[in-house]
Amino acid sequence: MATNIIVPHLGESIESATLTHWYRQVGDTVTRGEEIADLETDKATLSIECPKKGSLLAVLVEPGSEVHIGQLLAVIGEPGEKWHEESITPKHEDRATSQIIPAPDSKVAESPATRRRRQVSPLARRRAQALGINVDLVTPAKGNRVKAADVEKFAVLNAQSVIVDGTEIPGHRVPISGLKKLVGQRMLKSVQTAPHFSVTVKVDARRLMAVRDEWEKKGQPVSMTAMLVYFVARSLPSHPLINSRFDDDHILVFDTFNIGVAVATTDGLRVPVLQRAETLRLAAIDTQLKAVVEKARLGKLSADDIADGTFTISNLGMMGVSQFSPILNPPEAAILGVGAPFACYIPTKGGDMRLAHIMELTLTSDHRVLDGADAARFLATLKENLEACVID
Amino acid sequence: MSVPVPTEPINITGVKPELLLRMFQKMLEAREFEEQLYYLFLTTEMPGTMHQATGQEAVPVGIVSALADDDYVTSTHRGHAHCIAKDVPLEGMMAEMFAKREGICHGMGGSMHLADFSRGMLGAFAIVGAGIPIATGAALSAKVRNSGQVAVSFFGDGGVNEGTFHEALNMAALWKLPVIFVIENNQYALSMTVAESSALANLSARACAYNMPGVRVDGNDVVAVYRTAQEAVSLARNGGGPTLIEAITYRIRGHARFEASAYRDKAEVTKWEAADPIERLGQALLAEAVATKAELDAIRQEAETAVSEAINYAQGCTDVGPEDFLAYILDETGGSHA
Amino acid sequence: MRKLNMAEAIREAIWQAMEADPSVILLGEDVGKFGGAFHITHGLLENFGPDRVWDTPISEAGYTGVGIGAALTGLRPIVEYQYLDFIFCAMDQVVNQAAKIRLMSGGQASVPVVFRGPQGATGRAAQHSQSIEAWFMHTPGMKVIAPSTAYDAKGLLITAIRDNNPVLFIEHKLLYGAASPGGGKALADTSIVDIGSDVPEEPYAIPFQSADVKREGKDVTLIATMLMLHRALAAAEQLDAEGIDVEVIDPRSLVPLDMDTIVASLSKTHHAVVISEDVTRAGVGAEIMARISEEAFYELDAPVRRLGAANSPIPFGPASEQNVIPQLGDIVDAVRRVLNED
Repeated sequence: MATNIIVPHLGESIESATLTHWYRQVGDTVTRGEEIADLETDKATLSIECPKKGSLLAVLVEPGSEVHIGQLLAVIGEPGEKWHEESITPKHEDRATSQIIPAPDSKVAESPATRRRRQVSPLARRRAQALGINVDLVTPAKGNRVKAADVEKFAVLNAQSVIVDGTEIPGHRVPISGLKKLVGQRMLKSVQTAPHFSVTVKVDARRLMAVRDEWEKKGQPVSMTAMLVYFVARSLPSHPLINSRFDDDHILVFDTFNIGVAVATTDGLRVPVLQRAETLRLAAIDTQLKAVVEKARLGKLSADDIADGTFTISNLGMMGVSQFSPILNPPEAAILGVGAPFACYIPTKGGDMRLAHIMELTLTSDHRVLDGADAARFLATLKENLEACVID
Repeated sequence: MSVPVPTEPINITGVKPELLLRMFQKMLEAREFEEQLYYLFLTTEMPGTMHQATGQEAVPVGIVSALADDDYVTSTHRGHAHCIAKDVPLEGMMAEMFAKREGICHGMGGSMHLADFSRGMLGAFAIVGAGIPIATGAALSAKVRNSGQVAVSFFGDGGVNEGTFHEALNMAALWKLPVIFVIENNQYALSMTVAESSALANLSARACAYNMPGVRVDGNDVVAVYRTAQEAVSLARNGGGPTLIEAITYRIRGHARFEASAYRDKAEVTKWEAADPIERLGQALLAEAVATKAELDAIRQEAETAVSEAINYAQGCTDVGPEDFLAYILDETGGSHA
Repeated sequence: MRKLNMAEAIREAIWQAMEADPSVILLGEDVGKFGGAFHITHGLLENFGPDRVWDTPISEAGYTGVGIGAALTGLRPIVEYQYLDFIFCAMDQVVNQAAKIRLMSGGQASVPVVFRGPQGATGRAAQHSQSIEAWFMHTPGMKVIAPSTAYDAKGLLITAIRDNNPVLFIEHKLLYGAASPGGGKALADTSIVDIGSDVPEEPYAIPFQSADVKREGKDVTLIATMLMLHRALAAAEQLDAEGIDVEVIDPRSLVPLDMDTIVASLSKTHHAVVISEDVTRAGVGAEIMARISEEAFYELDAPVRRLGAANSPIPFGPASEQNVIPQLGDIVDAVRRVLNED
């Protein structure tokens, strides 16, 4: 097999040389160790030694040419052997430079702790966090370093009294749980960013309640909330703007109607979502709703369970509330608050009085997306559908 | 004062032909190992470095030919030939050069730290002089265990000036330990000649300071080295203590790869190339009809093939992984329970 | 049970190891005929003979290498340095050879050698007074052991001899006991609470990487080695009277280091002082503090403090030497500072 003669390493930081002389020519037999050419660098003259016995098949560089490391100079092999050009570029011998290990991040040029600055020990910080105390409010007993004992003392002091406007009123501090804090932040943001307005409509729930009883008698009890989800999902498609969100200078209108249902749990408020509710029949809505409410109560909701809501229903009716104006569930453009049906007598067309079960529904909307007329129109459709209560 | 180049024919009288041919073969394997690697290093990716012993093969081969398989050897950064003389497998050595897991040191040591404890090769030590007291310790151990083993410490003309040379030779002679100290005087310690670094250029003469025999021998005459070694081994095994052997040879290549040796006269190198230990043995074998030219050429070819096959084998082995080293830092296999 | 001082306990460990295992040998200067400069090894040559107990010339590098060569070929040598300051003459053999042979050979060989000797400042000036732990804690491939009581010394030395790796076994001159030179001075040092301890007659092995809580407490943790351990205990007694409850931990082995015990202690006390006799800069204290920072940062109610020797060669004059080495008062002050940061 043919052997390539290439330009070897020439020494520290030398990349090229000049080939000055060939000692042998094509067709000559050469032996191992024999000098066959000279290379000149600016430091020295080096000889190319033949690495293997054979016949010089090819000489590829003219004397006087500049050559670089790895360049093919000549080929040795059996007389008449075929060969093809391959250039091998040797890596630089100093492998260490090609594997640069980044210097450890020791440039932590901390300014020396100034004695005057307030410092908090790691333990103190941990204690404060566990107790729900803002460690910045804790004064150190000595000097300017807050220690765990200082935090404990602060906790005890503040358990005994709450200072409000300069007077002391007995009370105690209740830590705010993670979820509550989160919900609070979201509600604050919601109110601060979206201009809220609420529109209320009274719906006669007579037929709703009758259908519900029918289903129960059939052995397929469904909840009022499930029925509301069903009818909202069927009312929204003709009012697509309700099922949307404000997005800078656009309104994102969604094609599916993923209805979230607000659930009160011991931790706080959670809103599991029924995806594509418009495609679900009432029985399916009820089943899914029951399942997801159970999960919420057990604290087992997954991220998927609460994702991608486009509209929310919040039903306080089961707690006896007649009417309320919910806060938008951001980033949704609208939310429906549901009150309990209230039995009363209303005048009929004929002038008689008849029994009705009046349920007040309140739509809170984002005025950047919807105006009063939009809200009213949607609620009119919803009212019509609820009062007709046709279920397929 | 330059050392005369030895050109006399080698006297092979009384040495068995099998041993002579084996010495010829071993020297060729050592030569091929160094030379084939030399070209590889120049042109391709090879991790680490190498220090060639080209031209010096007769010293390790001659000395180790006088040893038993379980005798100990310590070596240096220029140690490939010591391993080959000790029958360390070429594949394992080559895989180690290429930093492969299948290397004799699992890729953890490389060229300068080759070792094969199963063959008494206690390791190459890259700190000059470090192996000298360690070989002495192996000899002490042999004495304490009464095993009859002998230890050989190989080092160069540079190593004689390390403090450990002095300390070890003193203890070895004091306690009559079965150790043989072999100076491979290749006349250069990187750029420094013997005359430039040793106040007494006759290195073997230092033996008298330790009350032990000191011998000078033509290090390019493998049979002369062998005969000298035999005497020293016999003395050591019989409780007679250590010997200091100074073998005069020549470092044909530079100190390490890419080292151009500009401090040397090219003419000097050429003169010593004419005293090639392999050629000298070959000529003696032909002259005394111990072998024909064809037989010697066959051995040459075998050695060349063995080494190039070892290279192919090594290139196909597994690269050392990033966490391999973790297993070798400490020995937690349990220790003794005395 | 009988009480032994540390010198006697070490001697017993060596004796029992040599009896049980014929591959254990001893090398060092004046260890045989003379019985050792600190009388640790007296009687061993007479009992075990010159093939087991070797009086060496003054050749630390050489005889360390001899020990290593013997360890590579079937023996388990104990290599003694008359003063551990002299191990520096053998640095290459210890650091470049013994600690690295196993890795370089790809696990073919182990180096079961024990390097041992006395250290500590005793009025003998800079070259006979150093504490050398950190040089070798920084060397991978070997272990570093630093006992502070006779009981610990015997058990740890037996473990060291049985270990297949190079082990540096460090002894403190002032803890050897009355029988050894310097021992008398130790007894006069009122900061030493107890020199001798109850030592079982039979051989026993204390595992490495097991720190010992020598005193329980709940306000602050002192981590101290060798002589400093005894000063820490004395400081604890003094602070007890002030109502400060001090826990004292003796790491016993520096490499490998038992951090679990230290972290558990900090979970209780939240304050720590590390005390070592070696030079403060890049010393034992630096390593332990770094480990505490990595593994117990959130337990800390104050920065960890360390005490060590001043960054100076040890001076001869007694007042200067005392000022360089941490004293009882320094430890008490450090505890007060760590508890009352200002």
